[in-house]
Order: sequence, then C-alpha cells, then structure tokens
Amino acid sequence: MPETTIPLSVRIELCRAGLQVIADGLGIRMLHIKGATVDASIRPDAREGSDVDVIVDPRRVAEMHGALLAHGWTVYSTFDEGSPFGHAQTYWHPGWGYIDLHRRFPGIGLADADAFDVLAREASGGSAAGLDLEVPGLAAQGVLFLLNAARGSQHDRDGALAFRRGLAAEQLRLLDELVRVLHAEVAASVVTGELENWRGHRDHLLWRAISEGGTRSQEWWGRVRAARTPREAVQVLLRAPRVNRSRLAHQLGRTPTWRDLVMAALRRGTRALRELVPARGGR
Amino acid sequence: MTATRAPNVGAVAEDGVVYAAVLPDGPIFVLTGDAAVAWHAATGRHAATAWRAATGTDATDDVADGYIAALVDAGLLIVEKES
Repeated sequence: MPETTIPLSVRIELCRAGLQVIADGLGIRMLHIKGATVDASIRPDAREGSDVDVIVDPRRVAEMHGALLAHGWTVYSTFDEGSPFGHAQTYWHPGWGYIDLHRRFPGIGLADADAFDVLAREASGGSAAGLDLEVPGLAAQGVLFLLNAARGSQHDRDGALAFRRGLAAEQLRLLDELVRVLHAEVAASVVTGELENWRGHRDHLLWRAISEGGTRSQEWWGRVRAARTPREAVQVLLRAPRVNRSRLAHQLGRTPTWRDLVMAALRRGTRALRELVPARGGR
Repeated sequence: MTATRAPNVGAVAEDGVVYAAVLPDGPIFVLTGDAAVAWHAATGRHAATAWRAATGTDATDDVADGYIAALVDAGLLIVEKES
C-alpha cells in the first residue's frame, strides 16, 4: 500500500476516540471539550485543533494517568508546571500527538469534583470516529467558551462577547445561572468588561494579571490570593520558586542536570526581583 | 461472508480514504481504493454482494471475501455468523 500522510484532523479524531476507549475500559466518566466537539451554535467553524482536550472526573484522574502511561503516553508537562491554575496535564504519544487532561477548568471556583458533577449532569452525547462519547451540555459549553476566552486574546473575548449578546433571553438566563452555580462570575466578567466590579474578590488579582498581561510574579501572587484554602495557598507559594523541569527539558532537548536546574532557579529569582521593583514603584 | 466493525475500532472517512484503527493503541490503517470500498460495503451486509454493488464490478465471492479477510486480520472487522 502506498505511503499516505494522515491528516492532523483525522489523527486528532482517532486520538479522541482512543481516549474514550481507555476511559470506558475503566468506567471513568470524561467530557470532551474544545475542538470539533464544540456545538456549531457556539462556534460555527468548530474543528479539531492541534490536540485533544478532555475533563476527567477529578476523583479518577490518578487512574486515568496510570492507564495513559500503560498505553504508551508520556507526561509532557504536569499539572503543577502548566498554567497558574494547575488545571491540566499534557501528555504526548508518538502515534497520536498531544492531549490535555483537565481536572478542572480555569475560572471555575466550585470544588473540582462538584464542578465536574454539575457539568456531567447536563452532558450530551457525541461521537468521534464512530465511537460514542460525552460532551458538556449546551449551556455548559457556552460557559466554557466564555471562560476560555477570558484567558485568551482580545479577539477571543470579542468573539465570546458577541456570542453572549446573541443569545436569546432564556439561553442567557441559563448561561448566567450556570456561571453562578460554578462560581465562575469573576472570570466571566473579563469577557463582559466588568472585572473591576469584582475588586476585592480573591480571584480578582489573578484574572487582572491574566487578562491585562501582568508579570509572572503578579500572576503567582494572584494565584496565592485566589487559593481556595490556606493549604492550597502554601502549596502555591512552595511551587513558585521551583523550576519547570519539563519546560527546561524541552528547551534543552535533554534531561536537565542539577547544574541546569540551579542555573535556571537563579535566573528565575533574578527575573522575579526585576519584576518586583517596577511593580512596587509604579503603584 | 458478512462482517461488521470490530469493537473499539474508530474510523474516519475523508476524501474517499478510510482511516481506521483498533483503539486505543492503533496503528492507523489507511484504506484506499477497493480496500476503502470493501470497508464501506462490509458493515452489516453480505460483503460480496455489497462490494459488487458498490464497485459495479462483477467480483467473485472470493475476491470480495479476500478484502474482507484482510480487514478482519487487521482487527478492524469481525465476521458475523450467517443467519
């Protein structure tokens, strides 16, 4: 048979279906998000991106992680090394590419397991490569679209705002109700331009840093402020000075040595100090 | 021979080509030409009859069954018992 290039969209769709097979084998509930799973009423041009995104029942993430490793996936970046939200872990597979395994969605303040239950309660059926899967319900997809745009570019936010404004009254009521249930009001307010109404809220600083392009230090401090428990705040503080081993390995093209880690930590500390001075002087 | 898609087989058809894989591990099989026709013909119908209808050629049962057998060997199809 002649050699044929497999289109990325095909590879992604098969990858998505493969993840579902793994989850089904363990009885793990999982919702597919982003890419081609987004309803056409939200994104008429919805198509597969360059990776697969799923939200896994947070209580079963460790099992899913084990299963992925058993099927040849490797961790590309960990929950702790990714975004300030620690929301997703990225895996890579030589045959399938990249996936983002979410345990939460940035902007949702409700506890992870409770938030997943809310999203799963209204889930709809979908399919990939002819196999059944689940996607969030329409209102939930709308909320995730807004929250994703809140972290994105101004263009993304404009698109999300246009979507929101185009909703019928009942659809808008359902959307806003779900935003409240998920405790996602602060992040959603980024899209509507009402973030400053939430000044004083523990999430405000983090979302201001993210939406207005704050420094890494401001982002970390915002993340400490946004911690839901004192324990979580301490964990964030302990992680802040750490070097992202995965990112460093990708930059170096090899496993970092201790010397690489020490040098990177020193560079990181110096950068944080530089950021701190103008931040204090400017306010 | 009557065959159907095997459990956990994902397939995407695009531009006359079928990309099929036993999931979650693969690999991805690329079915073109008669192999793609055989894939489409095989699901739930008598393969040789469906294949002949799809291709418009007067294939013998042996020829049609040969394609189906190859797809069965790849794990993409399973043979159904004749009722």
